[in-house]
Amino acid sequence: MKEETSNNSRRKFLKSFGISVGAAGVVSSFSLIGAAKAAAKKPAEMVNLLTQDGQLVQVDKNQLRPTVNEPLDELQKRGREGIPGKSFVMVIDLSKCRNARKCMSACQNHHQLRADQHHINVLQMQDADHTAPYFMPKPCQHCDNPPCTKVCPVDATFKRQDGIVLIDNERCIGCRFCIAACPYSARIFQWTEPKDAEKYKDLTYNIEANVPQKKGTVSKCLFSADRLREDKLPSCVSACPNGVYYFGDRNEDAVTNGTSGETVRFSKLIEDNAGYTLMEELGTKPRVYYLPPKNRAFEFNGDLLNEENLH
Amino acid sequence: MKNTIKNIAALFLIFIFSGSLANAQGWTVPNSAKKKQNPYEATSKNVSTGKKIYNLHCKSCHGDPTIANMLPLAPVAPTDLGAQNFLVQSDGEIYYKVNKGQGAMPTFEKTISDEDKWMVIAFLRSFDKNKKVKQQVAEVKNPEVTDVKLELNVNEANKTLLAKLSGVTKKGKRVGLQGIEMSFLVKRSFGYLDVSGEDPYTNEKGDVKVQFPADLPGDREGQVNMLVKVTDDDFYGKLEEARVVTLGVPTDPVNPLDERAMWGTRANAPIWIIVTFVGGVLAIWSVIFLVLFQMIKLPKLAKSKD
Amino acid sequence: MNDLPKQKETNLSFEKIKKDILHPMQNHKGLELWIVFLITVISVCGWAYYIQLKDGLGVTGMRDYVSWGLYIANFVFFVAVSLVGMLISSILGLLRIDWITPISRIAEIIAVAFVAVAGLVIVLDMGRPDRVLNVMIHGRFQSPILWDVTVITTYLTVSALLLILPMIPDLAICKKELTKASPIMKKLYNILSLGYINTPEQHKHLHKMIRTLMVLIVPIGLAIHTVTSWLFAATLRNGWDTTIFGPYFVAGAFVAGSAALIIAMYFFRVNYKLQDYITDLQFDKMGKLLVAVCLVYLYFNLNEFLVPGYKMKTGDDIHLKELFYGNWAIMFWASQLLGNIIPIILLVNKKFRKPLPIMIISLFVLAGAWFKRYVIVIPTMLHPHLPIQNVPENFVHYYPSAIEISVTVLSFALVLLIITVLSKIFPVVPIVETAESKGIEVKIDA
Repeated sequence: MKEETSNNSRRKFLKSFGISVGAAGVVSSFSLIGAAKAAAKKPAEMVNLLTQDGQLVQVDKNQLRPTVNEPLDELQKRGREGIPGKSFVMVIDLSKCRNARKCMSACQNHHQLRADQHHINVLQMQDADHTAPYFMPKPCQHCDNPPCTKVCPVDATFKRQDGIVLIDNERCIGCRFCIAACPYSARIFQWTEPKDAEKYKDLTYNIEANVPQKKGTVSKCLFSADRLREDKLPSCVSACPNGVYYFGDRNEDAVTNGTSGETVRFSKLIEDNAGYTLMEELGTKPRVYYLPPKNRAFEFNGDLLNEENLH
Repeated sequence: MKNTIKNIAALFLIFIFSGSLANAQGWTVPNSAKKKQNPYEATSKNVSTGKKIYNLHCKSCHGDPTIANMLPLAPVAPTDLGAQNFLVQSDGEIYYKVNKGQGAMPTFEKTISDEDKWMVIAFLRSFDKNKKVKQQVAEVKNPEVTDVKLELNVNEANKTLLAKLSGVTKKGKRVGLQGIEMSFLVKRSFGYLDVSGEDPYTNEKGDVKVQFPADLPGDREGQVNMLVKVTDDDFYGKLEEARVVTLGVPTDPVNPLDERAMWGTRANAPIWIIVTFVGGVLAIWSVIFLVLFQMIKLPKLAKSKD
Repeated sequence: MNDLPKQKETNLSFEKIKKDILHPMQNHKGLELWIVFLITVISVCGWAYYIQLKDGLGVTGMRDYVSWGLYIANFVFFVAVSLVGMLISSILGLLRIDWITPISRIAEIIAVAFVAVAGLVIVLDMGRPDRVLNVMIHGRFQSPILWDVTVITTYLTVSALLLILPMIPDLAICKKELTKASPIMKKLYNILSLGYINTPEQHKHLHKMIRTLMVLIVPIGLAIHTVTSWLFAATLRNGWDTTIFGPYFVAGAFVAGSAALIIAMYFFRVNYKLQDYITDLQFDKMGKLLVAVCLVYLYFNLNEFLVPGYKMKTGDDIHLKELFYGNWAIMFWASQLLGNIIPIILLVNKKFRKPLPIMIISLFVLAGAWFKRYVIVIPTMLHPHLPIQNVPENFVHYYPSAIEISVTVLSFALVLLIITVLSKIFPVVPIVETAESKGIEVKIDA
């Protein structure tokens, strides 16, 4: 009885922090189960966790257990259906990007990716010989005419009603046809055992975050579909320190800047800044819009000639 | 002993030298720029405008002035812009730095208008312990009031919103509160869209009227969640009114999955491709099975010879 | 051609034909050693596949950008070679061209072996081979892969039938003649020969069925290679985004298949001592056929590379420059020159259509065809529309790993094993058809 209360109180303690992002490794949602059991064990490894309000706390690793919020079937079903009535779009303001790469690391944390695996990748671009170079964050474009879902033999990658193109890693056969089909090189493959596979092996697979990642299957940006369900902006959007990203619902004609929190009219933003989509000549109809790098907030400090700088 | 002193002296020199180097890499503001003065007065209206702009463009890195909750960036963390050691600079110096930017600090030369930049500086000056005195020139003064009320009238025909801000004076009279900035916000998925327009300040009756955008989408019935509030909580505390209004354009969300498409799931495959595949497979395989079936006749044909 | 050497084996009897063809099947010592060797190779390379299965595809040289590598190139090559069955026994067979009689069975054996292993290679390339059944359960009609899987299965079935059905008379002979065969083999011959004793009714009925299948396999054969080309042409990538890929691949497949057939003909002629059946005439005719299909392929290459090379569109330009005079130039020009242009020049000369020279030339053509598939698949993956950045060095290049090469060797060994086993248990030259074509009376006892 006494054990139970201590268990409960600890659970409450952690829940009140609402642990969501791990500093020593990402934790999507953990609660304390079997704290008493853990207490009986040897002094355990402590892990650092960053709570939602920005506090760094140390927690006994043995006390962390993944919370299974929903059964797999439910997650798969709602993940395939999407959020009704929404039509998600992203706007990327190239004039604000200084290659800070906070988006990349936030994304890799969220989706349990290695440092060389990119759901979003900040590229150094130069369109022609004498045009100005610029940085271009490149997530999945979530095309409305997606070349990737066309070729999938098993419905493992598909488009949902809210416009997001998702991957079901429980079904993917790993043929990599979608990687070949994507003109934006937005897809990656889990060539080996994914990062921290051992640590996450008990976690229920969440199709809306592609976590835990599965060996031998394809993975890619999914606009942090799990966060959108909680009305939170995608990880990359919230992580940007420079106001590069806007994200919102095209049906509402509004996008919200992840840095300033400012909400603006989507159509006006695109109109005022001559927004465009990437390689529109391919007819893929992307849902990611770019604002050209005019009136830049930062000078371009990249080095297009020195590939070494890029790695 | 001598050596130790020498060493210490050397270290000291290096320290100074490196310090001056760091300074050289830091900000260098030309004298002409330093002399610039804020052409706008530090009225409470300008300060609150400045605060809004600050929150949009500066807060994400610098945090709130005087709170020191800036982003912990490396190698140099952003400065607390409300700190006194920052505010000792002249208006011109701050203006110059905002314009030019350095390192992780963007250049705001073209992204924010000059007027807005001066408003931000006016806002920052409101934290300056030395210059605070100069403020508040010929401003509208509202009487001290209690029981402040925010009333909202919606005219759906004209798509206008009328907010009225009033309070009860010491004499027990309800009067309109003048010159207070109101925010008219429309709830969207990830934040509030500001539809307040150019001049959302209450008039002498305490009224402010706002035209709702003609083309802003609502739900299927045109409904939107509206939030009207006094922009700055500092005046009368948190004062807001949330309401569902039918001012938006009725919008039927298009479900892209309603159409059969090449990119769709198997269930949404174009009919012709299903027919072609199934028809082709059936045709070819029925011939194959026909041949196999015919082969069974072969042994029988041997007997017919006898 | 009236200047061809007059056929000297006019004094052949049915008994001699039977003996010549059946004898090497049972009395070839080297054959068993060869089979043991192949099985050893397969076991060793099977271990490489086990490692790949255990550790994931990361043991190969493939990475996120070159996500299709050696395996897919090899798959395309196998599919290409298998098309020879349709070309020789169906198209030429339906045209009643008689010189193909002794080599049509070899063509079918090649077709069956290569297409069967092609299907397997696709599974070897999969990240999750354990989920292969998903293609049946969740198969999407819009995906070329479903079509490819369907067509490969169908082609394998029809090719196998086109191997067995025309062989029924011969199997009836095997049943009688191969007294030393194991009981299992005897049973197999007994079942497959379907009580055939060459009555006119049986003969007529059987050939009706064979002709039906010959007609049927033409669209399937075209489909198998066209659909395979769509695996590439359905994408938006530089070098693959072209409309002529279907016929281009079919033409290339005829080249690869013909070369493979010539090589197999040579080896069976020498090892099984079939000089009286697979004669200089067959090599001469095959040489002419090879020239014809090479010319067609050359024409497609001209269109495939000259037209985009003329325009040098963004994206295509980097790709084509790499092929023409960049990192891929040696492989590209070697496959074009050694695998196509020089063989054409040589083979128009009658001297080079003799068995040995044409076999050597065919080796070059076949190797060229393999490297051509490699050049089609990999450079395109290295030249995506957007720059390759922020990834480790080994993402930017592609070198097949030892394990990858081993697994590819496994697929080749498997093809050779299937060909060897089929040629050990079945007569590689049709006995009855050969006799019939020479006007020799055929007698099959019940």
